[in-house]
Amino acid sequence: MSNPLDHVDQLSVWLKDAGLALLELRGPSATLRLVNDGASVHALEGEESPPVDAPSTTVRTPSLGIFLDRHPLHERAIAFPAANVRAGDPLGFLQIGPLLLAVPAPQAGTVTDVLVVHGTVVGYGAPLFVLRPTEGETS
Amino acid sequence: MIKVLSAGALATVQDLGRTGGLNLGVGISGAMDPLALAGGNILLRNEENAAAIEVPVLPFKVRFERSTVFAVTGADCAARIDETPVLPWWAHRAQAGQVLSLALPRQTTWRATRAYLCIAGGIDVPAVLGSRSTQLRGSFGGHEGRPLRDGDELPPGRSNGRAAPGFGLVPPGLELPLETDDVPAVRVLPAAEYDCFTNSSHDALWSTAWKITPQSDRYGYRLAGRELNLLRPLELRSHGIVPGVIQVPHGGQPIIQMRDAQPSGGYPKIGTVIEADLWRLGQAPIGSSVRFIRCSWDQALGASADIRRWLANARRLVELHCGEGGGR
Repeated sequence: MSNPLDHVDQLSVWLKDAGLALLELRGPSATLRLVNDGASVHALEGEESPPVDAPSTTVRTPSLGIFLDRHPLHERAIAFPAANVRAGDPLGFLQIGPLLLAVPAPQAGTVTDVLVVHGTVVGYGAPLFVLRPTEGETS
Repeated sequence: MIKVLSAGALATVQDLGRTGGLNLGVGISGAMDPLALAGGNILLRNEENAAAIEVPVLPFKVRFERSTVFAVTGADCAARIDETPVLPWWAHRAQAGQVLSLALPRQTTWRATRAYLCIAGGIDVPAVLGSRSTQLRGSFGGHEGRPLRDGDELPPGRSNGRAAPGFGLVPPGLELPLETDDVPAVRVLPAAEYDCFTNSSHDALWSTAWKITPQSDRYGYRLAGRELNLLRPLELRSHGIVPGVIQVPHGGQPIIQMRDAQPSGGYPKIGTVIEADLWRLGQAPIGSSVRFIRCSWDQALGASADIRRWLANARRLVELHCGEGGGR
């Protein structure tokens, strides 16, 4: 069986083509994390993957609407894989006509996945983000 | 109380304007971007004509002496409450003693220059001739009839207790864009002396870009572009004019009258920017260009209806969101 670390370049191309934000491979001796920020794909090094039993939180839509990963007057997405967020910070927005609602982080943590593309119509309760809570924080 | 720590320059208290006094020689004044003011008042569930602070020159800094809900609309000025960034076009809570700072506008997805600081209950300066707008030419209205200075204290109006923080509006500048050949545009009705201008002047008016020169302010915008010429010299007596009128003085470079325009003038008028598009001009940066799109009377009324519809929809959704069922 070949080592995935020998195929980072190919995996990166696939990740970009598929529009996926994060690829994480864990083995007994090594971990590979590839992050696709839209512009490029790069490996995250030196960061331990979470222990298997670490709870991840899925952040869901508080309403239906059009998912925006940034404020309409801003150019950059707020939340992207590996971004650290504080409890209550908006991770993104839902647009309902001219109304904008925030999708707040339920607790402090690190974004590990963005599940929905900017501009997608989402229903109530749709999963938007996966958040790894900061150690010591409780939900 | 709101205490002005850093006034920038030419920040004024404005509501939607002092209408009904043009025949008495009293200009309209009011917010250069009335949509941003209306949007802020909708966010705070204020009455629609509540007064706010128009901030054309940044930076600008105030301290809230009492807890209040506020919103900064218009241009995105990278607002901060103490050191924490706050979202534009969003209802926020400020605690007593917190300082709000506005920095230079970030013209990213919408090129805008004026910010509006709106607070729950509005700014409670005395109404003069039915309006709280600052009338700079006559030195009345607003706060002592003048631009704000460092150290000024402005009283908030009695809050109706309905303002709630935690949501926003999409700026109408993004929702109602208007461009021609990638240049921001406004719609124009031909005015009384339109037919007195040459064909090449008509062509220049409708098909070339006009630069907003540094000699542009709340009184009027002086534009630079191709020379506009009359077929023959024209002498006019002074007559009533309104904001939006495009006058052509000797020299052929047009002037658009804005909110603080005097109510009469004698230059030939080639066109009038429709009322529904004046907010676009109010946010146009000095040095930027604007195009004129010819429109009909019916189209001008339709544009006003579009604005009213956008505001009504925003108000309906805000009321629904805040749980008092303003819908239907």
